Amino acid sequence: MTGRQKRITGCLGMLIAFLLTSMVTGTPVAKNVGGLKIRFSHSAHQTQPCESCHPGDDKGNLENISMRQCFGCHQKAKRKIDTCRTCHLVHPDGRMKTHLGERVLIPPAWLKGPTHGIDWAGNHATVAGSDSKFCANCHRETECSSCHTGRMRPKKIHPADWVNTHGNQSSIDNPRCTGCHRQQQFCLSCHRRTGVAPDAPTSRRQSKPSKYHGNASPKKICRRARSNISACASCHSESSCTTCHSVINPHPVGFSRRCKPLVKKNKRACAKCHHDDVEKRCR
Amino acid sequence: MPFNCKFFLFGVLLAVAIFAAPTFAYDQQLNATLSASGYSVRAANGTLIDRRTIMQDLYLGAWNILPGSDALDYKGPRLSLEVDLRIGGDYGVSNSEMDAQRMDRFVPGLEAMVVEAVFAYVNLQGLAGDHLDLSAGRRIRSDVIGYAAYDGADVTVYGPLGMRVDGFFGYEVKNSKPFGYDNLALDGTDNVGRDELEDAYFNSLVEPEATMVFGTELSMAPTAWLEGAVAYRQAGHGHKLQQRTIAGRMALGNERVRTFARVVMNPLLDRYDRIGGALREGTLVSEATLEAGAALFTHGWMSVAYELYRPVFALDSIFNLFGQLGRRDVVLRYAHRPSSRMQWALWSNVRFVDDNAVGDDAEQERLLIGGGGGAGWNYGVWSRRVSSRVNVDNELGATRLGVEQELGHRFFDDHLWLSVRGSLWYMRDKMYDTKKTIGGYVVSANYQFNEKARTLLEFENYYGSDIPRFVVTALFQLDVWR
Repeated sequence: MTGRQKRITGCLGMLIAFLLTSMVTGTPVAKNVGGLKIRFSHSAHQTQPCESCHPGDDKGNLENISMRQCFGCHQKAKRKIDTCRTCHLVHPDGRMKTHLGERVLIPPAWLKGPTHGIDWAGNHATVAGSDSKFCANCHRETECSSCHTGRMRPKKIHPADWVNTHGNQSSIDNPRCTGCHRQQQFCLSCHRRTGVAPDAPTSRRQSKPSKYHGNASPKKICRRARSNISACASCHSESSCTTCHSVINPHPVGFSRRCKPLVKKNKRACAKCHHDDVEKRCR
Repeated sequence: MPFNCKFFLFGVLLAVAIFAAPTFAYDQQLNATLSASGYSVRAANGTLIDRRTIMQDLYLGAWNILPGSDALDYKGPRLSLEVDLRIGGDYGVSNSEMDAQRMDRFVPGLEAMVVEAVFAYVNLQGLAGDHLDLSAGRRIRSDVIGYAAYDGADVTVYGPLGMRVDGFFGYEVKNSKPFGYDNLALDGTDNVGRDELEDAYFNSLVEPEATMVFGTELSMAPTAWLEGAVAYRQAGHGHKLQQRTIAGRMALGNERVRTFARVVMNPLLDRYDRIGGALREGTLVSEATLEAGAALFTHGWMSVAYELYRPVFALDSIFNLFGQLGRRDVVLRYAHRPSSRMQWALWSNVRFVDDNAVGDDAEQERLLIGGGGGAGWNYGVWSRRVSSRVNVDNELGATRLGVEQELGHRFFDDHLWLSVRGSLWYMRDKMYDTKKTIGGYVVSANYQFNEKARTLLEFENYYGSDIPRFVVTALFQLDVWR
């Protein structure tokens, strides 16, 4: 063991000891609001007409009220993040208590569309990205970071022998991969380690020349690369591209007519192939 | 006393000191997860590479630190502190793999041990009559552009009509920084490969220089049925990038803009539209989404989405300048929840690609290259759960077809949750002449000791693949409030 490994192992031991001891000495939380499922003050609402909450019901049946009715008024509060805690029970950190006995609360679909259905893990990005403070009404930041910066494989996202099967899925749908992984860090270092990447250490490469791309023609490989360049970046560095593309134009249609802003912003990317007169090449 | 025992004893004393102290006025939470996993993978030349991963995640939070702020009807500033630390590594990594002098073994960027501060910040909310929030420290930011991790400060101002202006600035969190990591930065690319560098410099994933990052987001939600946002973010500095030499290491930088709007129409239909787009370097739309949804039935939700995607790399990467073919997906989803116990969903998509030939005068076409679909259902109550899922995808001759089934049940006064997950996948890629069927199962036993502690043991076994046949994962989690 190196000194660094010893220190890390020591820190791990310290944390384990901390956990075991705190199990014995730590005190549980004893905060409950009388078993109520929501916080509601009838007197605070008596300034409103009765019909606004009890339409067509003179018995005052609260079940006639939908959350949407509540939200119609409380949404007008200047801080949206406070909207949930106005009625719902919350933890000390302000998050809603979503597990009430055997019942689990989920937001209704009309509220930003977070359906939380069985395909939710795969399509929550737009809702979560557009207003993460809304998600924070129920979720802790660590729930996001444990996957998005995670180091242990979440099996509900990556099931069934993912190490061997991920290539196929990531090839088909790698935009999803980029939500959590960087190809040039996460993918490439492992692909180098396992000898898959072209610049892997010699002790891990195949004795024969790489057969990864099989008998596919350069045209086929090029076509797939253009529709899915992220997949290429998980194994290849830029030098793989510039080997051929120093003589074959890789730029998209009409590139020379709109490359001036790019040159102005960062000439360095252009200069990797075009050693001089970069500006003159742009119309 | 052995070295490790000192640390162990220090941990015990620290825990006793914290938990045996008199009750503080503020609320505290400690969440610790210790996880370990072991398996092997086969390298291209057939040798086995061991993975023995152990990871400790420690989250500490303190809320309502200001006196009286824990009251339910409290109106005023709220001070909180949150820290998430991670320590651990892979004991399967050998020293030679990290030795730049060992050309035959060296793997740049490979780390055997990591010590990371995922986030650590102080948060002050509800200032200036509930119009201002401040925070400072290491933060993970999530806005309409996406994730970013930075060391700096964040200011949020709340205005009328649900208006919110949020600005942040700081230094981007990178792997090369103390307690850093780099999963959340925009992807860059190596400038050169191994063959063009001396071993000692073949360490291209490390970018030691600090990179400033800043951005802002303006969002509005004047009513429950309308909201919108526009965000801008820049990492690095274009001018500085130009000054650097063209060799060796990456220089990461990017500049992005994204807009977002959502409209919910009521009462005719719960129609739901949203649109987003990211502009790269002020010239190219790299991502756009347009979605419309409707509550066709009482418990059903249907949506149609149009999605455009072109990958974006760091400003320094030549991949941004290549003739990438934008992907365009048309996605149809339907989700139904007839009761709180039962739900099912269907989803499908077709994918087109902009088949623009390379060169200035070429024609552009849009071709259908693939699609996919799936269905799933779930029945679950507190004590038991059953779910199934079928999925098929095809793109450019690559096919993936799979079935998954999961069963779970509680035992021993709900302390023990046992579940079994089985799966069968068929995969084929015509381009590489590969075809395989892989089946497997995962058995999980989750034991909840009490409100504070649980442990999980998982065993995975697979058939049809070379390696790994067995994966064992163990986890111990502690969640303490006081």
